[in-house]
Order: sequence, then structure tokens, then C-alpha cells
Amino acid sequence: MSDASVELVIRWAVMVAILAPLAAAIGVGVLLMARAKWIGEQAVAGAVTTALHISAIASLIASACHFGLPSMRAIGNIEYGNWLAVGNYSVPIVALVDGIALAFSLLAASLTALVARFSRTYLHKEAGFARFFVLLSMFAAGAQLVAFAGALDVFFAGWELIGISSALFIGFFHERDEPVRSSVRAFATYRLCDVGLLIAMVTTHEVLGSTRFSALAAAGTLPAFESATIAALFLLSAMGKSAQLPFSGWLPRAMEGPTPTSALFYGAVSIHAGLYLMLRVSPILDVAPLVAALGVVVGISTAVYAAAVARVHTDAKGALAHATLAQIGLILAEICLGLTTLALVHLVCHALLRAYQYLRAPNTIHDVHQHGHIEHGRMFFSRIAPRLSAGIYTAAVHRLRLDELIDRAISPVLSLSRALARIDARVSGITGSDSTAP
Amino acid sequence: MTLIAGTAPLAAVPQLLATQLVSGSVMAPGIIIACALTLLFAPHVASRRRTGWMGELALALLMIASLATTSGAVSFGATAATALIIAVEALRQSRAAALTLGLAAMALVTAAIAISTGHPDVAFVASIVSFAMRVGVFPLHGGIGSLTHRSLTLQLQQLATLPTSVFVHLRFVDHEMIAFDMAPAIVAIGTASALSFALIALVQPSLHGLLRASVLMHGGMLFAAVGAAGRGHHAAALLVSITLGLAISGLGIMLASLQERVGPLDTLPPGGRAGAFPRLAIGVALFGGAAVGMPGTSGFIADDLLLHALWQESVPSAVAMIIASSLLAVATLRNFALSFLGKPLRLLAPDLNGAERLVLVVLVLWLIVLGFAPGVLVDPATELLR
Repeated sequence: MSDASVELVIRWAVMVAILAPLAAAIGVGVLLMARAKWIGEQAVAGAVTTALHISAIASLIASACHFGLPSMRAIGNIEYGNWLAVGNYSVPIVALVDGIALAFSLLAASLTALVARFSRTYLHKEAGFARFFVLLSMFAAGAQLVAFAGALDVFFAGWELIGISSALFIGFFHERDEPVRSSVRAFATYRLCDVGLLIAMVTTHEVLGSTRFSALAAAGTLPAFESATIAALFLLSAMGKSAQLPFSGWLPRAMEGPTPTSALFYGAVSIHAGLYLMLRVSPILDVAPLVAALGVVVGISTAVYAAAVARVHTDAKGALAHATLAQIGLILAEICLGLTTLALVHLVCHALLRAYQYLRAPNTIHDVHQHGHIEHGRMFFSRIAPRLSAGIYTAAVHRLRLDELIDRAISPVLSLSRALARIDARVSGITGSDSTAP
Repeated sequence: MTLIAGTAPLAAVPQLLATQLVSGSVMAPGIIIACALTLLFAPHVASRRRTGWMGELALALLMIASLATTSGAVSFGATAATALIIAVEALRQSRAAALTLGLAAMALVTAAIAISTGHPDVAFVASIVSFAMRVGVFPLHGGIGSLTHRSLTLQLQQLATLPTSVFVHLRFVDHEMIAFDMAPAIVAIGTASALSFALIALVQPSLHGLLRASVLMHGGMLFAAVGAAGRGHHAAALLVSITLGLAISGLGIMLASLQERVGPLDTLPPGGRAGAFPRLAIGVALFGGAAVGMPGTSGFIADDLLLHALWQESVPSAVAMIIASSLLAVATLRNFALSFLGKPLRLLAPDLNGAERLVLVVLVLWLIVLGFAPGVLVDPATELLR
């Protein structure tokens, strides 16, 4: 194949990988809204699963092109024009094809297709079957956008799609109160941490002249304060998405969703999206050593915290969630230490292992019931320092009271909101309108 | 009108039409009016009302006139008339709203007179004052806020007229030096208002309260965008006004449909309506999402453009707007969850009917088309406004 043909193939493959699930989400969604009768399970699952398979095959083809199977090794930015261009401001639609992007894309596409097949049986006759598959294809589109995004604007679009679908999956069993509460909490954490990504995106455009990831290579030319601020904002956003301390509280709550989505989101793809962001913006970490050090501290603290909590958790998915978190913390530390290749390998292997463990979690419980627990003797640490051991145990059982800590941190904001609502009521009262203030 | 040389007159007509259609002078107002008319008639179609079309027809004709004419005075005059019609209709529902809209109409008349007498600075100030009243900038929001409770239909009509007003403002008075000089102040006021209402939205106990806070928060956002347009960021103002219209009107129509089925929204017991009204719940979620910048909708690209525009005028304003948008997103999901999710309620009313579904799909398609291809509107508008 000629170089031009390879470029054409990779261009189309990337586009199809993103657009196939997106088209399925929009198509099935619009049909569900427009038709008087609901569409059958087979049709919905068939359409979405086909789209996800197409996406996975496209991702595979792009990977084959990248690794030079047809001829040359394809790498770099693929331009699709501008999403929008006004004056000197433009939002480029650009895909970045490199090893990191393809590894994440292939991981996300193949696992999403696998989970779709698994869920077809797992959720058969479940209320919300169609909703599940529409959300799954929306998530798949978001994951592919994140994987291939060559600019922060495009990345943010995918990032938001992942966040929204994640929150809606947590509240999937919306007849119960707890999943709904957990869903709102997870979304609030995501959204408030996304403030960091949005500010970083706008700042990057203003100070580097572009939101392309390739522009971050010039971060070394920025004043130290600016580069550190941008890096810190990226780190904040990644901490929210990957549930790093102190934002870890939402992860165990996220287990309220269906098991296949726990596998896909909190074992495999979504929870690693924050790490993927840090891999993408790693050039800016190189010029912001203080932020990199902060990332190492956050990662290792989260790993220690999560390892302790995982040991005392009494439910299988919760324990798995914290075990996942411990590894996520370590991967974050690796990225911040500059070990990006190790981090990428760690990320992919970890995602595959956790996806398997989550999907198998119900069977594991069944096995434990059949074969019984493995008895552990007293740990060495609890023998030599029983008091400290008891203290750590208590802290782990209460999960460091992270939720209370966050609640206390946001209470001044809520107080301000109530005060403003009272003022609003008074002002509206003066002009003779109604008020909705509590 | 001159025909293209060298072609037969009849054969030249399609070519001429095509040239005119893709040119900014027809395309931009054409899309805005199509969107505004969709917004204007959508509530009527959704509620399957057979009578009472005269008000909408009058508003539609005035909006077309304001966009079709090349005279600033006539444009502002027509825009003033739209505000006045809504003010008169509001008189029976809310005197505060009628007063606010009446004052806004007077400000627009002043702008029309100022333009015709050669005082563009006065016209700009009058136009900005009318915006402050019509979008409900804090603390002038009492009247517009009350419309959400007293007459949702009027609120939706008033939202439908905003994109044309923004276009008229950008076209005729936004090129003056005063627009450039006043931009930072207008941006600051709009941002402060948006942040205040986003915070207020966080503690709203009902969907009605959320809608009111959302309308007013977006009003602040639009005011800031109009301010930033004074320094050349026209596209942001246009897209924000259209997204505000589409998303908030869609949300309003869905909530009006819910109100028809379950009674006043302020007194709703919490939870459990998604099972009985799944499509309605999807509609509320989609429009709520679009209003806070959901990717794939015009809300995303409007927010993106606005943030870049604000950043160039004032960094604190851009940061405050980002925070405001995030707070509103959390408030929207919280209120949606409170009203639609949770233990299922036994409800006998049916889900969205055919007309309501049609409106839902049309508005969502508008949001998606402008989200994926904002250039359809932005390119010709930029060309024209340049």
C-alpha cells in the first residue's frame, strides 16, 4: 500500500471508530423518542452491538496501520478541518494517532463491545434495557473521542460524554433512592473537577495559541507559574475522574450501577480516563516539577488509603473498587515520575484484569458461598503494633470520613446559595413576583 | 436586482437564488428566523391549541420584518413592538413582567429614534438597557422571573424573540466605540448575574424554581456574551442566544407537559416519574443537558466560544462563568433526580403525545445540527456582521 492509501485508511478508521457508536446513540435515541411504541430488545441491542463491533474493527485497523502492517508506520495528527472557525479562533477537529491513543482506543472499543455482548444476556427483560444500550453507545463514542482527540476541545467533548453516561449508569436502577443519590454525587464531583479541565483548556489556548496536545510541547517556554497552574488544573481534573484523594468517596457509591457497567467504567475505561489525560499532557508535567511531585504524593496516598479500605470492605464490588483505586494511584504516581511507558502498560493490563474481575464478581460470590472463605491468621503488623493497627482499621472502615469532609468543604457554598436565594426572594417580592427560595 | 450576464433570465434564477442563499445577508437571518419561528410555534404545537395563533403570527411577522430590513430604525422599531405585544399579554398575568417588558420596549423605541437621528451611542445604551430587562439581569429580574411561574407560554414567547433581538443589536449598534469601551462592564455584570442565579439554582426545591433560575442564569450569560460582542465576539452572542432559546424553551415545554399531567410543579412530591413518563424524562434530561453545554448539542460549542470570548475580556469573568455552568449542571441533575427518579409513583396520565414528541424531536435536532455544524450559522453571520 502506498503512503497516501495508508493515510486514507487510518483517517477513515479513526472517523468510523468515533462516529459508529455516536450514530447508534443518536439514531436509536431519536427513534425511541419519536415512536409511539418502544423498540424491541433485539433491535436496540443489535444496532448498538453492530456499531460497537464496527468501532472496534476500525480501531484495530488504525492500530494495524500504526504498527506498520501495510507499509509505513502512521503517526501524528490527522486533520479533519475545523469544527468552528471565527476570526483567529478555531476549534480544530484533529485526531492524534500514536501508541498511547491506539492502546486506549483498542482497549475501550474491545471492552465496550465485549460488555455489550455480555449485557445482552445479563440485562435481558430488565426495565431500561434500551436506555442501557443507548448510554453504552454514547459512552463508547466518548471513549473513542477521548482516545483519539488531538485537541483539548475535542477531548473535553468525549470527557463530558463519559461523565454524563457514567452518572446515568450509576443511577440506572432509579427506583431505589441510593443509586440516585450516588449518581448525583458522582456527577457533582466530576463536574466540579471538570472546572479544572475547562480552565486549563481556555488557558492553554490563550497562552500557547492552540488547544492541540502537540502545542503542549512548547510549555517549556511559558513562565513557571503559568505552566504550573495549567498542570495543576489538569491534575485536579484527573483526580476527579480517577477518584484520587480527596475525591475518592464517589467510587464505592458508583457500584450501585449494573455489574457490566461497573466493569467497563470503574474497572476498565472511565476510571483510567484521568490517567490517560495525564499521559497526554505529560510534557507539561516535565516543566512543572512541583505539580508532578504533588501528583506522586496524591497517587501514593490514594494507593495506601485504597489498599487499607479494600482489606476491610465487606462487599465484593466495593473491595474490588478500592483494589482498583490502589493501582490507579500507583499508575498516577508512575506518570508523574515520568515513567509513561510503564504507566501505559500498567494501565492496559490493569484495565483488562479488573474488567474480568468485575464481570466475574457475581460468580466469585457464588464460589465463596460454595467453598467458604480462606482463613487468614493475624497479620504481622497487627501483632507488633496492635494499637496502630486498630487505628488504621477504624480509619479504613470509615473510609477516612471523606464524604463528610467534602460535605463540610462545600457547606459555605450552600450557605451562600441560601443567602442569595433569600435576597432573590426579597427583590422579587418588591417587584411583585413570586419567589421560589426555600 | 441584476441578472447574471450571459445566461438566459429563467436559467439564471436558480443560480442567483443559490448565490443569495449562501451569502451572509440571507443565510444568517434566514437561520435565525427559522429557529425563532420554531421556538415561537413549538409551545402551541405541543399543547395542541387550535385557537389563539394571532399573537404568535404578529410576533412572527415583526421578527421577520426586523431581520429583513436594512434600516436600523425599522429593525429596532419592530423589536420594540414584539416586546410591547408580550408586555400587553403579560399584563393579566404579572404586572411586574408587563412593566419590565414595557420599559424594555420603550428602551428599544429610544434606540430606534436614536439611530434614525444619528445617535448610535444612545442607541447602543438603550439596546443594552432593554437586554438587561428582557434577560433579567440581577437585580432587574423580578418581572422576567415571575413570568416563569405566572405564564410559561409568555416566557417561551419572550425567549423566542431573543435571538432576533441579539442579531439586530449586533447588526446595527454593536460596531460603535462605546460598545468596545463598555464591554468589560457589561461582561462583569452578566457574569455576576449568571453566577448568582447558578448558586440560587443549587438550592431550588422544585422544577419550577430550577427553570426560573436557569432562565435567569442564561440571561446573565447572554448579557455577558452581548457585552463581549462589543469587542468582536459576535458568534458567541448569537450561539448563546439560540442555545438559550432552544434548550430553555425545550425544558419549559417539557415542564409544561409535566404540569398538564401532574398539576403544579411547585407542589410536586419528590421522585418516581421516569417510569410513568420515560420520554418526558428523556426530554427534560436532554434539554437540561444542552443548557449546560452537553457535547453534541449547540450548548457545548456556545459555551466554548463564550469562554474564549470572556477570557480575552476578563479572566475572572471566564473562570466565574465556568463555575456557574458547572453549578447549574449539578443543580439540573439534582432537581431532575428529585422529580423523576426514585421510588415509582402510580400515575395514570400518559407519556408524551404525538405533537409533544414532534416538538421534542425537532428542537433536539436543531440543537444537534447546530452542535455538529455551528458554521452553518456562524460563518454567514460573521460574514454579514463584519
